[in-house]
Amino acid sequence: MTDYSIHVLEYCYIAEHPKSAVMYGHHNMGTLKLPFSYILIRGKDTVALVDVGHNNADYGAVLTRDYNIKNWRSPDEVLAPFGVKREDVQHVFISHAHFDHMGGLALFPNAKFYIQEKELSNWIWTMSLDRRFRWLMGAMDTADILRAVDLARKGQLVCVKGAMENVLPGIDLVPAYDTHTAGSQYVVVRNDGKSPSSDAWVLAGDLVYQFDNLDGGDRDDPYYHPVGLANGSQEKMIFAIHEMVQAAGGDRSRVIPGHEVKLTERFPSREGARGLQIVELCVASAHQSVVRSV
Amino acid sequence: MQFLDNNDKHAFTPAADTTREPAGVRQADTAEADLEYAIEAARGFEALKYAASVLTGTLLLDLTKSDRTVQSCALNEKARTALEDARESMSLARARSENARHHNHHMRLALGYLEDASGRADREANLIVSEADTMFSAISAAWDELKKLNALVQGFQTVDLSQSCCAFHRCRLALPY
Repeated sequence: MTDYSIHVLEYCYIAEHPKSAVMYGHHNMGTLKLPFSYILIRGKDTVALVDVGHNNADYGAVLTRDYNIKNWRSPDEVLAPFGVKREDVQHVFISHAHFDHMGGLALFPNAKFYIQEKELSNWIWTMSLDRRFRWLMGAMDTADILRAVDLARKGQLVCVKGAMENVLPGIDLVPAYDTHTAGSQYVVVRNDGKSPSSDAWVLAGDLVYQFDNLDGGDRDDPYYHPVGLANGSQEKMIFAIHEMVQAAGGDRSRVIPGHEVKLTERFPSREGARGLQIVELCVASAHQSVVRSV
Repeated sequence: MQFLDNNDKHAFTPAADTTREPAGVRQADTAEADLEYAIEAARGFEALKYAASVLTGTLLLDLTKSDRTVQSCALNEKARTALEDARESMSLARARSENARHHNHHMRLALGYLEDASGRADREANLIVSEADTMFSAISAAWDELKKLNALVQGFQTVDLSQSCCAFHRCRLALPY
């Protein structure tokens, strides 16, 4: 019995992103489309997200412009096919603190947000370094930390220290320290509720951007190839990828990358708001497919 | 000094403009004065931005019950040093145009809010909720002031977009191929 429906929801994209940013060391290999997404997890009485995208307001709008991001759509538009409003979201698991994953904190007013304590404390430490270290602040919007403070005041921010099993029944948070960022985490959904699970989905955040990071682009002789951006260590990133594949029962197709345009080739999908993709990973017994109904 | 975007703007009565210069000359002078001021004020702005970031981080560490002894005390010390630096460099920036004076006014407001927040962070080893709320208000007000600055004199962005993957996209925008 499947407990949760899981859908990957594109909310905007970059039309041309350098391949070298996706696959470490792949220079001069052109560009590719990079979709930005968050993942909707629905249970019987549960609405949760992995990440929140970014808000196209204030500095988020500046980032949209300067990153050349296209077709940004609000959560209300993106969630509409599910009959879900942003106010309905109860839990958000933040994979890491980059603006395109955490910048939309203010968009989900009733949610409780879970982030690794190390991600926040390292971010704060990074901010305290002098200007020579400012590269470390890349892809971060300092305004997000003020939003995080506001959430903490309201009791809506949970700082997770290490792994957290059953944050919701059958859902685990697993840290991958010093990889893409200092306190990245991935989400394991054990859809049979068992441990170990034979029906697990691993929602990877940016520990893998695309399928090629899981197999090096070589299906016959796969190897782990890290993403282009690691504030931590590429070695640790590779072992985190291995851990995620193990958590998915050895099935690489159940490790879901954070920026993969080819999800639509592997899973049922349809167009949602203004041409953005909805990808259906699985459907719980209590729900109907949003793909087949179209 | 009062400006139109102050909270008490309804009480603002503009003084008569007694200076009369040829428009072109005045415009050139203003641009030059703004540029000089921007260069002189940059260090103070960076110090304010740094202090605001660090104080925000301190507050977050307190509110999330992270180990304050590890980071927060050292962070507040850094913030205090930055605020001293900001105060000193702001006093050296010559605000000769109306824009520059307006800009300097908001920088001083930000400085005041941040000094207040820093004082509170210093006094409280473990912030009680009410103190945290007051500190949050002061820091938020400081960020609001800092965000106004770039509209008055350019070159005062609170987010550095020239780093990391941002830099790539900026290049792409400037040099499409």
